[in-house]
Amino acid sequence: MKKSQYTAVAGLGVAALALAGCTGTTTPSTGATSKAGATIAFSTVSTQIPLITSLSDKVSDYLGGSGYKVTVQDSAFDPVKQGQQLEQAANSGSIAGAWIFPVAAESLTSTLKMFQSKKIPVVVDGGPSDFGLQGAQPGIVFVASDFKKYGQTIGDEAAKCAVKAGATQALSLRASETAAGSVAVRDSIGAAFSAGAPDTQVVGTAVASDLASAQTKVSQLLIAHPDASVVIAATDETALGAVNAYAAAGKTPACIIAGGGGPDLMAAKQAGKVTAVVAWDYGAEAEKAGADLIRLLSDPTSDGGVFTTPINVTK
Amino acid sequence: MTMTGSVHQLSRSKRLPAKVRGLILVRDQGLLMLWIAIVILFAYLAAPYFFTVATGIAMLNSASIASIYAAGLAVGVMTGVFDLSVPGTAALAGVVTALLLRAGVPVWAAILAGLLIGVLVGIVNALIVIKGFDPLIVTIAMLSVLSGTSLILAGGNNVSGLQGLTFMGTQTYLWIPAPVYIALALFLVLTVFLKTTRAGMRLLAVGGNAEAARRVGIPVSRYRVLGFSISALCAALGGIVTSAYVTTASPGASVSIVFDGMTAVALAGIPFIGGRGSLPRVALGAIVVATISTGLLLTGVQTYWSSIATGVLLVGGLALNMWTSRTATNLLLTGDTGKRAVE
Amino acid sequence: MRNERAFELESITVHYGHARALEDVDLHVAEGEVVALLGDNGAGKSTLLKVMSGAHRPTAGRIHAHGAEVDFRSPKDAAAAGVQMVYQDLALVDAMDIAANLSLGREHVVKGPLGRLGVLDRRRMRKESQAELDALGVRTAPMTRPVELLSGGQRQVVAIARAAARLGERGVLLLDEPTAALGHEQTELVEDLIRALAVKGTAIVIVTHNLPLAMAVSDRVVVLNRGRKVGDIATSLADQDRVVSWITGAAVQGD
Repeated sequence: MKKSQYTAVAGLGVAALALAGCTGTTTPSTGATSKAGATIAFSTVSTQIPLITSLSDKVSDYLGGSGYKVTVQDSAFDPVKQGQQLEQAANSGSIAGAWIFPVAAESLTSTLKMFQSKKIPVVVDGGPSDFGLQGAQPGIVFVASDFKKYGQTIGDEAAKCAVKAGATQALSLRASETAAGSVAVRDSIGAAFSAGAPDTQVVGTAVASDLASAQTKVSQLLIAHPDASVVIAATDETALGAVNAYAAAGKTPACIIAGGGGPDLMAAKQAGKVTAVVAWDYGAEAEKAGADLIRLLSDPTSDGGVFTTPINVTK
Repeated sequence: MTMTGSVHQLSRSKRLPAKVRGLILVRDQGLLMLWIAIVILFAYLAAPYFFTVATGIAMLNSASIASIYAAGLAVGVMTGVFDLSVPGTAALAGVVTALLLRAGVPVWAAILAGLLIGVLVGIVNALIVIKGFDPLIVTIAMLSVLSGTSLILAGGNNVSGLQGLTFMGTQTYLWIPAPVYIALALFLVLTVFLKTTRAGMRLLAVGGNAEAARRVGIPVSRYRVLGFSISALCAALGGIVTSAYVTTASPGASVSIVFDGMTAVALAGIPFIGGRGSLPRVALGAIVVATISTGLLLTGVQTYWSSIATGVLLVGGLALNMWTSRTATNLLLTGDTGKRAVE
Repeated sequence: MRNERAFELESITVHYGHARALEDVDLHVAEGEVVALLGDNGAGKSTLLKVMSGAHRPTAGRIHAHGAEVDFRSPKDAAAAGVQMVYQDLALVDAMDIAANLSLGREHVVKGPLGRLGVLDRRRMRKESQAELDALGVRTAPMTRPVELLSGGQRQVVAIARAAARLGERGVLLLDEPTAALGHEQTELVEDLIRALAVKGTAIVIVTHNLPLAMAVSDRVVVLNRGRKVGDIATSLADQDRVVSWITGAAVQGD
């Protein structure tokens, strides 16, 4: 149960939070009617995912800086529970707004309608079409993720590095395809890599959702394909597993290109063990969407923004 | 009626009927035959990568961590309980060890503390279960408490950079990685304990027929505590070795540990009603699972097949086991093999 | 010298609330005597068995073992007074071998430091188990065979032998339906074992539905009906039809 959902989140790229630190926090200057002290619910896929925990910290910091209180709701990977928790909070009048990281976007449509009718503004991760809606909506801020572009960026980076290194063999790692957007990510990585590095063959593919199994699988692939020197890893765990596996085998890879960006991966990047990290820039998103949420809090019937999460490449 | 000279023979004692012996052979050695068949299959399908010493060692390595958890679950099952708190215990032990290491505590002390946490969890589990609560629910509750605790302790983040544990993680000795030795030592100690000691024998008796054990004066509760403690100790060891292997302690309890471990236990033919089971076969069960996963990885088949293959194998193994046991018992009970010999 | 009163129940009464399970029942067994306790379902056989084995305290009445009055608060007390019971479910550990089942609870450890670690002396356990079975004049399968691979009769023999080994001299053995679900030949084996134990001086009470078994193996039959003793007669003097009429309640002794 945990595996696939963990992947869902990794696929969404929450990981990028670590980057948020450097953007700094600006206090928005809307607030015609002050709702200071009001509560915003942060509804998360699961509190067991460290990366989302740090996202909620970022959101708390930002909104807290404007005088709001953020409470975290744990959906424990259950879309039904997520909807119920949000609706209860809305009905009880205990929250002024919400920030929702959907377990399953399509199952939240009615919840969003209810929030609209109660004039409680929300930020949701996903585009309007993910929720069966069209275009901008009153009281809802959308932050969509362009999975195709994300995968393409990873594939391009990997191809550039492989060509530069003259590598002939590559390993491709990812988490299982049950998560939102992960199929698009997988396909666009493959397309971009083979277009950009036609002479590098992907000799091994592994699906792993946790660090230990990623490490084990990369170790085994390395025994079969000792010349594989490029790693394309779609998630934090697979990238870190590859780092460990190469170290254990006493080898140095030419390129490890990772999609993700959690604290451990960024530390590995800093230590020079990872070539490049492609990440959703959730820090920037948190600020843009946060500012828009605060605007809606005083004007809940106006349309919220429709944003796309920027993608950052750290080399 | 006098006693002298009336020695009754209840069966043609020394040998069981050939049919029964055949069934027992299938039941006891079926897994080994299956494994050999799988190895041969992959040696062909995944040539030239699969059938090499290096791959064999890598496979053993991946089986070894899973087998540590499986050992704990197996001891639990033999004692008659399904210990679902294993992933929580593993996470907590890993996190505690990691945090202590980070705080500068010597490696041995940090590991010891992690293991002690395990024993403590086992004792608490047992003390609650002894009160008459359903072990399944108690251990689920414990799983929940433990994963929450380790998340709080770790602040919701992974505790990484555990280079001090490499000696029991990725380090190799004589080309073989440390977890293999650890698993081997654990299985050796537990097997000797269960097979040759009084406590081991009583533990199995309590698992097999608690009422029988109670009637002959065995303090059943004490052995329940022992069973839970061993199970939790293995879980803690598994958690620490996993953390050492990836140099990172993850506070999230990974429930898949239970499924993988139970797969190995079930493949080993250990009935979940308790009282019997062979630990070496649990190790073989873990190796079978690792072989399938490695083989499919190297053949390049979509790895989801690994999960399907494991499931099919599991039900197949159970069916075979049930069939052999039932048939053997029926032959013995109804076939009246206890014919009296001529005096 | 045979003690005519190895085990004696006097005016045993058991009430469950208003329900009267046993009313003023007397029963005695001599050393070396086999008493068959007969009765229909609900006649009070199992209640009386529970009283004798210490699992249930009577509402009124006294129990004497070898002349001394005893008060059984638990099966442990009964065992201490030399009363052992073989339950119908046998309470054997199926996966363990015969030797382990016979030794369970009084296992031998090896001498020396390994013994202090609790290492079992399996050889000694096997030898003593074999000796215990030999003493009863039965030879079952090899001591290393798991109980689950024994026939029904062999299992019953192991269970009885285990109880007998814990009796010591002049004990009292209670058997609950010892031949239920056994075939003809295996029933005979168990009957022979029961007679062998009696010859050694064990006082035996067999609780059973099985009239032929009672007639074949017992010295005396005692019949309960609706909580009262309705018949108590030497087997050699008993006429099967009359015993049946006592069981069904069509008549009582002395009619």
